[in-house]
Amino acid sequence: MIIATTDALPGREIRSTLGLVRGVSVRAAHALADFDALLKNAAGGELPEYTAVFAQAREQALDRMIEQARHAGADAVVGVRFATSEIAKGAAEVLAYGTAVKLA
Amino acid sequence: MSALQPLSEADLMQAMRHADGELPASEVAEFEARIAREPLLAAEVAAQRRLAVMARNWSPRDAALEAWEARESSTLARVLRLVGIVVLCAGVVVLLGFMHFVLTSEYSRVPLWMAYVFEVALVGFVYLLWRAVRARLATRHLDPYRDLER
Repeated sequence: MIIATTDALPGREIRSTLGLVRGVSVRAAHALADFDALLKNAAGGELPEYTAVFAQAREQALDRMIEQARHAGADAVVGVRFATSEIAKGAAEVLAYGTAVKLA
Repeated sequence: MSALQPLSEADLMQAMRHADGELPASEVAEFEARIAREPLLAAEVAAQRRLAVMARNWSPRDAALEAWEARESSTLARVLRLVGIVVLCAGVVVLLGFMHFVLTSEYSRVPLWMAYVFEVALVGFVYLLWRAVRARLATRHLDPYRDLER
């Protein structure tokens, strides 16, 4: 499965468009990680606990999008984008979406 | 295959192909039905997915993060952290005990029944929290994203 942020794939021809595919994930850090992050927040610098939560949500959303594309019989997903929002304190919501296509 | 039999090499290969998205579409539904029935196979697929996610996201670690973890992993730092957690927990327990004393003392303006309702609600909250933590710990090994750092 080819995943691209571009609308076209150089050297490949798109035969048909299968439609929108998307995956969403909302993940939270556990209470101890939240507490650690709270203390580090006071000192400044990176909060690796939240970096990890965000990375996990990103990859899970991406995998869910790919899974949906695979079920639709796609060869690639083009125009992939990420969107994020905050649902709750300490939780990361990531939406990955794109257009599933069949290649020639 | 029963849930307790060890996995065959063919099953291991199928688990890897499924985790990598290389299983033919015609075999996916049948394999996913087996995953739902066989906990051992489900655990293997989860482990393979975790490896695939880790491999896809591997990158050199940050020097700052390494240095931070080195400081935090020394014996002294771990003992001090444990002491901090114990002191914090002890403080919370003392505060809860004091709250119980204040709410139920004869000088309290809060009706006694209200004090007990509040404490029952607190017990209910702790019980639900314990259930959520227990469920997470029991299913954590199936989460392929759990070790991802960035």
